[in-house]
Amino acid sequence: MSEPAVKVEAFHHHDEEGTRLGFWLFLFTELLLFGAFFIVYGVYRTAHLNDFKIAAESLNTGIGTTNTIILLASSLTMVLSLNAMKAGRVKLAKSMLLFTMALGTTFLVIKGFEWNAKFAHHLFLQTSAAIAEGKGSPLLTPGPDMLPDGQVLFYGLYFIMTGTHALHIIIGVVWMGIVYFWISKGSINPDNAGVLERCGLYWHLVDVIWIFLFPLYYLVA
Amino acid sequence: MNTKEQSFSPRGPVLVFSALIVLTLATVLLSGLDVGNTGALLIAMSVASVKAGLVLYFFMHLNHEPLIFKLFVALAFVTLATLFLLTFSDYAFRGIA
Amino acid sequence: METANSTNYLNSHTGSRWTSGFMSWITSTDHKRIGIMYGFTMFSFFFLAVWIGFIIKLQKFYPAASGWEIIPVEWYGSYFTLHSVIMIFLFIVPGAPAVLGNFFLPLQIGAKDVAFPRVNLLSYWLYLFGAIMAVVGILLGGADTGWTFTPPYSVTTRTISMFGTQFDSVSWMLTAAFILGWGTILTGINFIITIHRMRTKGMGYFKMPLFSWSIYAASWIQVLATPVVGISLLMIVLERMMPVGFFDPNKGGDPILFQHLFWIYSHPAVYVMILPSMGLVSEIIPTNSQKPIFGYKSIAIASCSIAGVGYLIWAHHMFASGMSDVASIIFSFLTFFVAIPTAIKVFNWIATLYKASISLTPPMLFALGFVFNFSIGGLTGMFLGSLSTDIHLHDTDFIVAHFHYTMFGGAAFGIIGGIFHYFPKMFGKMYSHKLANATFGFMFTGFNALFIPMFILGFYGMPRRYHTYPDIPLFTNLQQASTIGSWILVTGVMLMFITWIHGLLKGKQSSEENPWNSSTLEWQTASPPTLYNFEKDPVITRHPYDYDAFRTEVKAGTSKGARDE
Repeated sequence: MSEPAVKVEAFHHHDEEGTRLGFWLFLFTELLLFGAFFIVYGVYRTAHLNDFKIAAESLNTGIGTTNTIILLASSLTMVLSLNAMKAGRVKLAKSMLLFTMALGTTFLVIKGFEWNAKFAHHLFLQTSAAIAEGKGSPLLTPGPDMLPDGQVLFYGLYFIMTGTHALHIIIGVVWMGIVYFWISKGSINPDNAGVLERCGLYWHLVDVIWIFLFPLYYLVA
Repeated sequence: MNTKEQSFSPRGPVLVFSALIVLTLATVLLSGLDVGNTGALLIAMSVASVKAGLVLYFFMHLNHEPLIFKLFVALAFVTLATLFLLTFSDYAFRGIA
Repeated sequence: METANSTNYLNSHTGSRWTSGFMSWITSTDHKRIGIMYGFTMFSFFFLAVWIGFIIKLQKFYPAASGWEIIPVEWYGSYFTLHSVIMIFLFIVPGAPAVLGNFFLPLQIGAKDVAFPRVNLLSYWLYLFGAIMAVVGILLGGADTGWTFTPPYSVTTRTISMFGTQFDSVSWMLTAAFILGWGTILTGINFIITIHRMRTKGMGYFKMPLFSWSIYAASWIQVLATPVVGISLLMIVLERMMPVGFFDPNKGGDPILFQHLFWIYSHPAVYVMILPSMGLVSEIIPTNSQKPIFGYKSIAIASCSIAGVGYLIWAHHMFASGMSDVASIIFSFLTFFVAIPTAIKVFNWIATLYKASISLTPPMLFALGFVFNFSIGGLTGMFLGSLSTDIHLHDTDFIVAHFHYTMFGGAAFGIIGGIFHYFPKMFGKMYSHKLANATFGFMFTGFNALFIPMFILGFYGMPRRYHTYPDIPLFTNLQQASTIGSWILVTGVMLMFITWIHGLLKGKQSSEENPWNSSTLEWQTASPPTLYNFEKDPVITRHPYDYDAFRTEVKAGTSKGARDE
């Protein structure tokens, strides 16, 4: 195919509000994605109420509350970072962003310890390879110490839902790292803070999802 | 987004944050009450909804956005609520509980 | 391409000057090039799946006692899964939005491109990656779950491919469907924002052509429903790999819950398939009638209400699943509501034809075929939406015939008609009308010959997904009629490809902007369109289907939209 010599300028369409609206639409897909999880949780909670209550007892409310407060605080620092950026105080915005990343990481570390404790109690969903090696947890080996179905479902949902949430936190922290780098380079600046703003929206949505996960797993036992 | 003139004040966000913390502690304390399964679920979900509303409205700046943003958000939540309602039109009457 | 006297999207591009030829296409963010790429990929898969359907029908030519076995029994499931996965996930869901929506939505509303051109390219890559993954996976492992992946079967099945290789192709296909889902979500977001933010001056919401309206309604479904199915498909993958029984009744799970989550997406998704085709028919009919479409606003609003009601009726796929009776009654009741906006559209199309000067061009034939087939498909849908008849007809060939009448006779006829309609605009060439008319003749005859017997077969109890049937004269006769219908249909489809390829290679070069004399905006620019669609940003002053005003403009020589204003 012959390429003519004309070089046409690439089309630059920049619509900050439209981009933000589109990002909100993307957030809805995240919301509906977790919404499906919540439907599954709701159905199995109805079906296995007692097992869910017994299993939920094993989760530490103190740790859950701490993590909730950490995430809420990170949302605060995130919004302060954006406000500072909009007010032209780039340095403050950067340090607030660092705070947010630190809080997000703390959340992950605490979550990691919590998960680890559950693994130690064999409440993990072993892979079939582990069962073959005879290392299966009491969940899986048929026998008197096997957990009831409802509790297995509870832990299954607990791991997959908090796991998916943790994955979002990891993505958020990495994204913030990139944003931090761009702020340092100056490509994100008070006049062009759209990326920081969308990163913030994403982070707040992850927080909103945790706001619902927290009572469902740690409180209504 | 030419808002350099906009001054920076942490007051608003900190107020919202305080409200969120108060609500978090409240929901933890209220979970100790013996109000039955439905009652506990109702309390926990109501508090969570208020908290989520605060985050959406203030932290996510819906308060500064044009009407279309609010309509979109409403549509997403109405959709989710409808899915819940209709799914439970099955489970509520299947006798599985 | 040959006529380099004018630049258009085919002979020039906006990418880096180092890219040319093939690279300039697969790295292009031009909505028109992306649309063409989707079209090429999708119809390649369509070609493959048509032949698989042909083999499936051939298998039914003789009853069990004859020993006739084209497909070994154990592979029959893999064959119809391959047919349905390709047709649903790779052809008809991305179908009209990805090909014609990408190409014509910006043109119809006077925009230079979609809102996020790079995201648009990402959608295409996701689509291509997921598509290749699905097809390779099923060829290596031979999944036999059907496209619905219903557990517990989809959790336990372990198949061996036709090459004897062992491969967890069900997990692969589920992951592929997840990736394909993200492709359509991003396309949906792109279109919604494009429509909200990029309409040209004077293009109010109720001045948009109806194809854009239908794309808008379908996009919302893509955005709000796809994530639900995405996550439930991943839960099946997890369940296959880990010993937790989300949907396994032996482990406290509920397989019906998966069906809920699956149909929460997949029922609205059938409107993603059909709405854009309805939009295309709403373009073709007024163009070939040369008069305003009857009830413009009601068609636009009907598109949105179909999308809305589509969310409320998913469990009518599950009347025989063991769901609660209360839910069955609610969903059966709600299902009837979707017939209202659908019927409004059909009546409006027919009213448009009344006292019109109709030209029976190839696209018009397909549009009329759409109305005929889709009416049968829609009305038989009412049989299935009624609780009591559904119990009798559930999982029979009646259902297979019903959804082929909506999806093939409806949606696919709409897409094919749409491509015949827009072919001269896309490529600046005209295909042979003789070949195109023959295509329609074969496809329409073959299609009806293939699927009308299946209604009767299903009514008499022929189950779907069975590879054979007992030697009863009624069954044998109808099955053979149906198989012969499939031969005519395949001939039609092959003719369609021949018509298009012939049109591309030997078609009469014509830079005529508006061969059908259509009044909507996308026809008022060069054929093929220039890089940014319009020389100047068009300004809209009249209704899209105002043919009186359009004719006056043509006489006055200002028909090129009001863009010279």
